[in-house]
Amino acid sequence: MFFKNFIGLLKRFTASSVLNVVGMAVAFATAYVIMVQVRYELTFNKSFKEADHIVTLEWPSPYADDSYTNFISRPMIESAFGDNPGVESHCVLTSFTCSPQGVIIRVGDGFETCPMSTVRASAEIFEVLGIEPVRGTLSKFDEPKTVVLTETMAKRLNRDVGGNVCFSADWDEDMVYSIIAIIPDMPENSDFNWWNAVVSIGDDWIDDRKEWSFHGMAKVNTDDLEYVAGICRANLAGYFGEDLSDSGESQYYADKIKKVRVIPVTKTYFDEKSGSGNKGNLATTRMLIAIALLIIVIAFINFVNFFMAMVPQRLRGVNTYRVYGCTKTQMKMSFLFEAVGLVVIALVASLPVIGSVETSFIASFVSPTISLSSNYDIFLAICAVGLAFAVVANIYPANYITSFPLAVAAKGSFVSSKAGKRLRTMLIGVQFAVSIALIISSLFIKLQHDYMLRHDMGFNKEMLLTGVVPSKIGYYFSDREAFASELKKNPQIVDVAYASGQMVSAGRMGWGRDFNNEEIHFSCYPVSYNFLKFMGIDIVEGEDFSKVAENDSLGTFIFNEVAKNKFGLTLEDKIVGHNKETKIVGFCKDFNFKPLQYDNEPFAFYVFGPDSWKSLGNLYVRVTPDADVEAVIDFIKDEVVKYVPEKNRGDLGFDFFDEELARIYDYDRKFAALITTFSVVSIIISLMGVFGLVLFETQYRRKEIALRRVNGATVREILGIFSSQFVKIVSVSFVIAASVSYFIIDRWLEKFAYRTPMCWWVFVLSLAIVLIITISIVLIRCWKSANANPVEALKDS
Amino acid sequence: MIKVNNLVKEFRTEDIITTALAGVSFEIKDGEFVAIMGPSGCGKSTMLNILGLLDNPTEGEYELLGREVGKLKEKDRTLFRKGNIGFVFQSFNLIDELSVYENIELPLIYLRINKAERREKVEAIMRRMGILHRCDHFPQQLSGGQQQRVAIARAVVANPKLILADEPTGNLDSRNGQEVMKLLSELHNDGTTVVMVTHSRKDASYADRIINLFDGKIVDNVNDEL
Repeated sequence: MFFKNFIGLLKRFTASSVLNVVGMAVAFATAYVIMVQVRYELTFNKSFKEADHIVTLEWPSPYADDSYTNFISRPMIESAFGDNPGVESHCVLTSFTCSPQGVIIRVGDGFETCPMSTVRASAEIFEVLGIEPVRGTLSKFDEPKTVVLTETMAKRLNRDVGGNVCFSADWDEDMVYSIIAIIPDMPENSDFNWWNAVVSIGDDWIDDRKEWSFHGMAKVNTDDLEYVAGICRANLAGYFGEDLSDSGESQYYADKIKKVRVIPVTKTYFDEKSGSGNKGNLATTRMLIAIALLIIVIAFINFVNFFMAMVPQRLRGVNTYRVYGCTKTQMKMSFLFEAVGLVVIALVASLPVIGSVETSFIASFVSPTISLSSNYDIFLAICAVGLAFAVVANIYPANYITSFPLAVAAKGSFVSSKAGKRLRTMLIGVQFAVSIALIISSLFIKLQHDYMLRHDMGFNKEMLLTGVVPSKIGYYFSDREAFASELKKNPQIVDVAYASGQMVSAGRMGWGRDFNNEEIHFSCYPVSYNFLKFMGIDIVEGEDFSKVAENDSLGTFIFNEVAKNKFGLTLEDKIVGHNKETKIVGFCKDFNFKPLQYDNEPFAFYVFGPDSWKSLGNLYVRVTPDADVEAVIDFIKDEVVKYVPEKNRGDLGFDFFDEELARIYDYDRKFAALITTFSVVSIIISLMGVFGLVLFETQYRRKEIALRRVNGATVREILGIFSSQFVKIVSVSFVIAASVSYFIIDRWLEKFAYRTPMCWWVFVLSLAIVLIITISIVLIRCWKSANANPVEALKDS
Repeated sequence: MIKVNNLVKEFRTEDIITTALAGVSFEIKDGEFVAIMGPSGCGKSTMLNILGLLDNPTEGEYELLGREVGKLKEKDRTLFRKGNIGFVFQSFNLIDELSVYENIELPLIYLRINKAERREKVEAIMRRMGILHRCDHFPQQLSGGQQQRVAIARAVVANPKLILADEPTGNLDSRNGQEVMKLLSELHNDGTTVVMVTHSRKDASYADRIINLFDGKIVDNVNDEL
């Protein structure tokens, strides 16, 4: 009987059933996509064996109070973890690579270069992270000139255990490493996903306290991390006690050591204070979960609303069943079966929706793959949630329709109760409020994203191309100049400059230096001498770098205004550079060298001079406004390959600086795109509900419309009656949605140091969008009813 | 079979109390055919709903088949109704999603009668009502008269002791109305007690007795002499 009733429902109320199923299918697919992204974030760094017991050592940030960095000197790491009963094993690692340009391999009689991201680490890294080799053995890792490759890298190089690779731009027998093991690829949602290869760090920098380029990680044998941190602090105090007994820095370090902490790698992703690895935003993730649930709620609101709208038409049948012996419980179970049936159909229908999302642009907004085979457990969870919602959403309508006195069935005179109508109005209001809030949020997130891209960052980013060149070009001044002059032969290229690393980056090399008996810390950006002029960065005091700086083996500094004011620097001061004491030739105007989430901090441009230990591999090329950019990029690639013949042209990538900047804000871009998509989904589902309800309403009020028409109402007046009730609902929903979203967006914008203003027009636009679409749907649907021959309607009734 | 004593039914809203039945007392014997008549709003349908255990009286006693049922809870009323009372409504109240066969089968399902027996009973009653050829049709495919035959077949398929009919010919033309009344008469002649609410003197003439209601009170309770 349950099944019969369900089929009857589908046949009799086809339109509402289809709208219900489509709405739920879209909602389930959307929730699935959201939860795939949410799982990616919530399980960040959690794929490792006993991940909760893998910790990283963090030192109080020298730049900002109440935040930490995981860049620490190697002897400090060894000291903190070395004699620590809470530590099972520990390791040191650094991204300082053997060759920043990757490796070169023999292919037949020739050579081929391949970019490769290599981490240098002590042998215990595998024990700490619980990594077992797929092939080969890790026992020889500490031996010189050995390398461990990830599976993907080994496949890409077509190399296996016993083979070799050369960590050099040119083939150099001294830099040939033997492959001793192949390890699995690092999990995609981990701070180590960039690893292609691991080489031993040996004893390098083991006594160098000034080089803060290392991360310390440990496997702990206790849940009491404060205990482990306490021992680390005691060990560090002991270490500095001996080493700095006569130094004025003692107090500085003593204060910092008190704040040293260890944090599980599973927590760094969402820990705002942590300086370790990739960063997520817990508020954003929570917002995504809330949106997933809200979209399902919106779909089920349609279910409840349609059910309530059907009550007058279904009540006679329900009461007839009951008159003939069907109990209330049996009737409710029948409705539950219907609800579950609709949900099951919707879940099946969501599968092709997910399939099409997988191949659409929406997939690019989500970090991991959204394929069902990789996330079947999430789909099962969505099934469970959908069924649970079906049970809950069914409770009120099923109780309502079985609450009418049985005697009603005898006469069949049913009216839509005020309570039912009030509930429907309230639920539509919730849908509108959610939709409006999502529109407001997506508009502000988009505005903030555009603001960040368009913001005057304090340097000239117009017609600027950028990309990475081999170290054979970037390392020495003479090569850089020679390559630049080749490029400048192209009339579409205005100028060329070099730097080490991206111009705008959240993380870059940080130097801690002694100044006036205090340790000062600043971000250091090695550049070519013409970089500031090239970028249009003004000098506020002193002078710009000159070509002479490229020949000064001590290096040359230009600090920003923040550093000048914070440290009290003058042009007469000297700061230790990469070698010895280095002069400051000038101070430049502050500019944004970090994404706009961050405020300005102490910063220095640095020209290494001839004794450089860093390649200025980031090429910046200014082109003419009318340049054929594609042709210029091809030209640059040709020139690189001409200069470095073994370089694979396919590995070269050049792009507009704006594109590079956009990639920095990729997380925000994806978030904006996801929220916009969800807003659209939410509006579509809500409007499906509105459409369905207007459909019911116009059928139910057919006689009323006819009587009004007979009594002189115009079509416009009839349309006004229907549209005005929705205008009222949208207006009230807007007031609620605007207040809530103002609060949420204001909180969200707080994480940006530079933020878009809260424009009033965003609120008005959101209201207008929802009102226009809603009224259009209502008018289109009502037009037919209002224009129907009233005589026919009255005759039928 | 039925004894009602001083039956009162009031409908309360926030503002007003409407008295539908104001102290009604009567008795209906086993196998009687009784018609309840009166003007609109006099309490006929309310009376029938209480007799059919679709509603409870506000006050008074109601004894059905020797048991006091006036204060039963809904669940108990449902249990008591099953197999004892059959209903025929003015608007047929057939379930659109179910076929003719399934509509008639409905009371037997809730009596937990096995499938084979159900089939036997349903086919027998359909044959008797002359609608066997309409077995697989749906209510919308039938004329009004045929729909009411199906409704009567559903009312009697479980062999109830009491049939309550609420203006059974109200939605039918005179020819179909007469056929329905003949069917009810046949059931009465077979020993089933029938209580019918009607406006029609002609339909009431099929009854053994007519109870006339006015403003919730019995004004006349006589054997039919028409």
